[in-house]
Amino acid sequence: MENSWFKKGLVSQPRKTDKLVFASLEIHGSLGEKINDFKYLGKPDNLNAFDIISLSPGFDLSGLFSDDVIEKDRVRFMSKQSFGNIILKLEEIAKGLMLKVVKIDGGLLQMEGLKDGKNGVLDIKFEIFEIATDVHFIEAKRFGGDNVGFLKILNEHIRPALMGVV
Amino acid sequence: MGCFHSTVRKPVPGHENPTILASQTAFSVSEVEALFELFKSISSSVIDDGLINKEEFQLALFKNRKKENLFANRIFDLFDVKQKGVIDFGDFVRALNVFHPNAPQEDKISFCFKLYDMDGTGFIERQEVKQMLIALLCESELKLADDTIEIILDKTFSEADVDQDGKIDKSEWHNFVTKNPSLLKIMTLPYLRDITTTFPSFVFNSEVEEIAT
Repeated sequence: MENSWFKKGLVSQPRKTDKLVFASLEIHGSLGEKINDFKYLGKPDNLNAFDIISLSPGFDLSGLFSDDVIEKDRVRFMSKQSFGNIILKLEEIAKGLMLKVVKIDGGLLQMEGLKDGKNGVLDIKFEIFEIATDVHFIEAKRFGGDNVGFLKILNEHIRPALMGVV
Repeated sequence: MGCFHSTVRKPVPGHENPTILASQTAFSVSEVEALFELFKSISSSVIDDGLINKEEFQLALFKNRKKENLFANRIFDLFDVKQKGVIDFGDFVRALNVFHPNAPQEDKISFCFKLYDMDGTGFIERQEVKQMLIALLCESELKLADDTIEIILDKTFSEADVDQDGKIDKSEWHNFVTKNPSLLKIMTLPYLRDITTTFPSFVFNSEVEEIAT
């Protein structure tokens, strides 16, 4: 890991499973203080051309069976940043919005609200896929909480942070 | 087709006997009936003619009848087996059958191949994949440098195009999809398993007795 956050390095043996490398890391801040202690999976899944093409909503026939605009529960976008940067930015934003990052697994990250709202606690799952070096496709899905809040977080905080080039 | 009386329900073009459709597909008779309710609502949304045209298809998928999408067009073209520009009920049921969770993998692999073989040459050419990739990136409002696109295509074709002739034939596709089963995810609609519960407005009508074949 080139990023200076990962000062401690690997504390357990990485295990290769198909496209993913699992690793356990302790994250330290620049002053050496311990920030997080979580399982950080090294690499998201790699997508080939057909994986990318099949992301199109044009292939999603579930709209035939529902009157709702399905897209509002799901936001997809691309980010021209490294996987590590994406994870860090998501955590930063979560911290600023008082959301808990409860799980990081491969290319999966979950943000959870701390307060019970109209539709239950806010629960957003992010799935990150690698398309090319430092180009990632991100899908955010709302599993709990109200939709307006979900869209606001995505459109006002997350997308601006991840879609702009560093 | 018979006379149109105001008291008699208008015959729907291509409305085949549900028992026959059920016997040819993974759907039960009551599921075919439920699909007919869905078909009626989609096919009457713009023009009430018992057929689904492109606009009605777009309206059903995107809730926007004017939304054009390259990939939705491909799906429509494959549903429109007789190439008439409209989908009748038989087409609808038989095509959706391929998306049923219980449909044979072979059918899904074959349908998917035809989806991507845009010009119908029997091969998925590199240029076609490039065109589709660019269309997807456009939809997602992302531009990638041309050489990044070429890298993605190179990686894909080095894995899929075994004889390296610049195109993917049916058997290469078969092997490629077997190694990458997630590519078939778009070919299964879990909704189809619970169709009769998905449509609470569905009322069983005695179609089976009424239709004379």
